[in-house]
Order: sequence, then structure tokens, then C-alpha cells
Amino acid sequence: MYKGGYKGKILRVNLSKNEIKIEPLSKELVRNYIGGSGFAAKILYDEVGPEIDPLSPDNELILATGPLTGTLWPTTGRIMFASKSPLTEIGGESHVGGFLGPELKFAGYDMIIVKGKAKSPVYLYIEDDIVELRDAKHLWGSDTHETTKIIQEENGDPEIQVAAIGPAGENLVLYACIIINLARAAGRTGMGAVMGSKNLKAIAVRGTGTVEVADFEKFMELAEEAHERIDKNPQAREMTKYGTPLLVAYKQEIGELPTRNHQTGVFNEWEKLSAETLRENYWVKTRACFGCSIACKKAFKVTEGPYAGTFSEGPEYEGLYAFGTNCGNPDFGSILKANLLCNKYGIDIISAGATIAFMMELYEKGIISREDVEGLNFTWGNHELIVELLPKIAHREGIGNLLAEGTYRIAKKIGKNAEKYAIQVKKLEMSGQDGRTHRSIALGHATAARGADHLRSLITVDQLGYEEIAKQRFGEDKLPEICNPYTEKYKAYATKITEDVYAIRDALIVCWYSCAWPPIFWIEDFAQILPIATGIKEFGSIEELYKIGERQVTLKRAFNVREGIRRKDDTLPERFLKEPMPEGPGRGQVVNLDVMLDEYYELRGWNKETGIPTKEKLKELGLNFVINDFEKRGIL
Amino acid sequence: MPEVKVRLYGIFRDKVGKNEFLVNSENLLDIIFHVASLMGKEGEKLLLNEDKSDINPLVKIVINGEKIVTRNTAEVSLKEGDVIAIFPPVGGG
Repeated sequence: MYKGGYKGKILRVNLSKNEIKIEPLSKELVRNYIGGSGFAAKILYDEVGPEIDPLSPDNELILATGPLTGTLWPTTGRIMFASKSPLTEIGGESHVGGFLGPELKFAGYDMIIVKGKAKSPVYLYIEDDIVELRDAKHLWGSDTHETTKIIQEENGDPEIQVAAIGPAGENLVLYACIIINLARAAGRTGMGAVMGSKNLKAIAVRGTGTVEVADFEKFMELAEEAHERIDKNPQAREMTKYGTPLLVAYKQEIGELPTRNHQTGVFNEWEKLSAETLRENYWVKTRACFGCSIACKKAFKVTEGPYAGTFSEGPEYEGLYAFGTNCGNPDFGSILKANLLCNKYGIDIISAGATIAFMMELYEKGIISREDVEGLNFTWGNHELIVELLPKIAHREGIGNLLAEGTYRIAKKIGKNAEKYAIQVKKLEMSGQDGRTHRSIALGHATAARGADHLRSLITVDQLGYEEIAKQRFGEDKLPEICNPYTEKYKAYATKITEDVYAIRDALIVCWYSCAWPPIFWIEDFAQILPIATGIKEFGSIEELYKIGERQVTLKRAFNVREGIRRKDDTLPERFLKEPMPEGPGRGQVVNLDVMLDEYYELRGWNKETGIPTKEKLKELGLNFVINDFEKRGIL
Repeated sequence: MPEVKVRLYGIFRDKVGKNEFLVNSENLLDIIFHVASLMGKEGEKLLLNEDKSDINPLVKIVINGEKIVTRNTAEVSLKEGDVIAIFPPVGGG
């Protein structure tokens, strides 16, 4: 059925049985889900039921690529990891750039599915047809940088691409991540802890093949055009120069720079963290992922002060938020150091920063005292504390053992109304946006499949006011309200459309920073390139792609419904619903979530009372296996 | 005429060589032309639209952190003490 784009092979690894099998990539899976996140959603639904504990051997870790991964279309260096999340206990996934995804395709595989638990630490080694589980006892306890280097050295090949966990993954820190190319993180939802629970220290891949496409000449013509569009795009060029830190100044200006555990959207010392300050004082070099002409990654070095000598790629805007503004910390040196430590230990920056900020607010409010936290000083802006806590978290040492559980579980343990200050949705710590001054993200945070997520439906037209883009993507009749950050109107509509398009983006897989932002590629571009890459004519229909996107979103919802998620869980921390934004341009704003939720469920064909997809919608999307499963379990 | 503060970001800061400055003006479009005149051709191309009659719609102007303006700058009048932030195209997140 497909003539290009895919390698046609899935690697199945059972660590308990020390068994490796190759199975063909099913045509049905390709036709209904395209790739990446779509593949993972279907496999997780079929193979990881609600009875399976996320840290048990029966949970599966999926690595999936898409039909464009490793081709010359721009920004196709992505791979995604999926599993049932130990942090959220629902569907978890995290996407990452770098070079691993293309390398896996070059080795001849579209996907890896890992199950079971090895008796002692191992790493999976793949070199084209050679697929082996190798002893990793000597790597256990090493950080991700050491692990990557040792694997490359002992195999005599610096081109081997390594996905590694650090001590945080080994010690089952619930928000442990997986690190690729030393500084690219599959950060969210604790995928590193899943690897750790399986005694799987790393996955190392070397491939010498290619990715063939159905119509090579036409593909090259379109890929060249696509690169040119990036080259000519002014947003892309700003990203090349400054990277995502460019957001700091803008978000301060619009009052959406989350500060001190999201208490406000204004950080008075923001200029110390602005892109211009970073570029002038710390920038060393710019890096790119495979096949990317945007090159948004920035490497910085600190030359003065207590963190002098720290050199690391990053932080992104989210890192500046997590360890900076949200902890009331304007010290860039400490943020770079914290960023580096997270990469080495394999800790998710957003969850770690949010957990520390949460503790700082509990300390401020008198809910915890110094005696409760080993005498440590959780005052806002205490950057020495941030840097000191990260190794403790990674090793679950002392107070780190508590912090390793994330805000939801800490609040449960502490009691005393601490829950009110846990800025999380579905147990996932919130990313650096605020629905009070950017209304669409309120609905995104509340409904996204993996929790308080900014990457599955982030709409920027009401954040940045891009009327032209709003007109093209959502229709002129939705203006001006759709671009107004302080009204709920049309935000559910924009969220639904955007989520479905991003689902296709995550199936191809292409980077956020090519279609979501800068807004260069959209669904019509995918409909153009996909049939040329794969030879599957049906992928040329925009209507069909919307349907596949919707199928993916609904299937992820169905997985979560089976785990017990209902409308009551699609909510936000009280702060966003009841505490008016205290200052800045959005002063006085709160979120009216219910209005958006009602509209969203209606557009999605989900029951408004329960948030469960209706039988009619499931049938329309060809998800009959979900209907059967739901009926058997008494959900429908 | 009211005195307003202009804050520049990204490439505009590089091209003008200043972070911010005060200027007397009662109309936003006049300020845009003023900033354009301070930059070389590349900066001007990025700041203005194709027929050089208004701003490039990808450029964001935020007035007092509240009002986002992406076009029709001639219709925006200014008052004493307004702060006008001019951003190059930025990403979401």
C-alpha cells in the first residue's frame, strides 16, 4: 500500500524474556494513524489496559517515528516516546528532536516497542540488522552525558545516537526524562522512570540505510520550496538568532510571564532573562536538529559569578520560566546550571521547576516551615537552593525523595490545603502559560490528553494577535474575538481545529517550530507532501487528514477515559478560576472554563456531562474497538 | 504633542542601537516611520509592509502592555506617557 516514507518494520523487545522480534508494520495502522503519536496511541490502547501499573514490567515503552522522519523535508529529526505515565497514570508521551529518530529509520525501523523488565541493567544496541541487549551494569549510576560517551567509545563510533536515562530515571523520579544528544529531552510525563523501571539504561542506534520516498523528484522539489519558505520567514530568522528566549520580553509585556508559582504574570526583573541579555552576555553558539533550517537551539556559557564556567545548550523559554520567573529567580547563571543538571540527571525541567516553586509558595504561606524541609530556605529567588535540590531529587535523597513525587502527590502528603497551590492538571505540572491572559491555553491545559500541556493545542493568535493567521486558519467570521486574549468566545473552536492539525504534525513527525510556530506549514502542506512521500493517495485529502487527527485525539481520550478520566478532571487549579490576575495588562482577569468546556465537548462529539466520547462519534471515526471495549467495561 | 516611550526588541534593537527612547508624537504611524528611518534597509523591510504605508502585519506592537496592534497604525492615537513596545515576529510557548 505504501511506497515510501516507512521502513515497514517494528522491533519488539521483551526484556523479561531477553527476546527481540521483528514484525511488519501493518498497513491498517499506517492508513488509520499515519505514524508517530498516532501509532503509539493505537498500540497503547490495544496493549496497555487500566489494570497495568505504569512502573510494572507489563507497561510498554514505545518509540515511534513517522513517514517524514529522516527525510529532507524540514524539521524531520523528531522521535516520540509513549507509555502509560507513572506521573499522571494516564497516557504519557514526549517528543524530542536531535538525531535519534532519523537514525532509527536509517537502521531500518519505524518503531520500537519495549516490554518487560531486564534482570539486571541493559542497554538496547541497534546497528542496522544487529539488534542486541547488552550489559549496562557498568553504566548504572552514570549521568546521561557519561552514558552517551561510554556507549559511543566502547563501540568506537561517535555517530551512534543514544537515548539515555540518568540517575533520576534509575531512581524512578516520577518526572524523570530521557535525554538525546546530551541536551535534547523527551521531557514530560516521566518516560525516564518507565525506562528505569525496566532496567533499561539506554537505547543506542546506528543506521547506514536511507529513507526512500514514493516520488523522489517531486519530493525534492517540494522539500526545497519548504526550506526556502523557512529561509524567507522573518519569525524563523528571529528564532535562529535568539531561540525561544525571545518570548520572555513579549510575555512580560502582555502579562503572561508566570511568576512565583503562577501568582502573577509579571516579573519585575525580566530583563535579566531576556533574549537580548542572553545573546549579549552568554551566547556561545547555535545548534540545529537533523534537517532543520531554523536552528533554534542556543548554547550559553557563564563566565562570572558563582556559576562561572557553566556551559550548556539551553535553556528554552520554558526553562527560563521554570527555574527563573516561576521561582522568583532572575539569576541566569543558576538557571543555566539547573538546566545542565537536569539534562545530566535526566529530570524534566518544567516539572522540577514547578515542584520547587510550589514548595516556595507553601513556605511563603506558612504551610511548611524550615523544620519540615531539613532546615532549607525555600524563599523566592533562592537560586543556591534550586541547584542544591536537583541532585537530591535525582537520587531521592532526603527532601529530594518527597520532591521526586511532583506537586500533586506532595500536596496530598502535606495536607493543610496545600493542594490549592499545586499548579497541575491531571497530575502534570503546568507549562509556562497563563489562561487568565491567554484564554485559549486555559482550555488547552484543562483538556490536553497528557495533562497541563502546552504542545498539543497551543493557539498563539490570542496571545500574539496574528489576525492574518487567524483568518486563514479559523475563518474571518471569528474575528476579532478569536484574537482577543480576554474572551472565551471561539476558543473551543480554535482548540479543536488546532489539536486535530497538531495530531497530524505529531504523526509525521515534524517539529512544533515549523507549523505551530513560526506558522509556516499547516494541514494543506501536509496533504501535499504526504502522498508524495508515501504514495498513499488518501493522505492528499485535507478532510481525511482532519479525520485522522480527530481519530488520534479521540483515541487518546478513550485511553484516559478507561483510566477513569472524566469531565471533572478537565479543570484548572483554583488560582486560574478564582484569583484575578493581580497586576499587569490582564489585571482582574479570571478564566470561565465551563463555557469553553461545554462548547469543546460539543464540537468533539463527547458527552457534555461526562466528557466520554459518544458512541456515534466513535463509530464515525472508525473506533469500533473502543465501543466494544467500553461496552464490556460498562463505560458506555 | 504627548511624550511617549518607545521600547525596541530583537532585530529592531540591534538596528537602532538603543533599547528605548522618548519621542513626541500623537500618532502611532509617525512613530513607525521614525523608527524605520533609524534603521538600515533590512530593518525597514522588516518593520514596514510591502507598499511602506503601514507596519508589516507580522510585527507586533503592544501599547501599555494591553493593546496589541498589527495594522492600521495611522488610526491609533497616543497620549502622554504611553509605552510602545515594538517586537519582531516572535514565537508562542
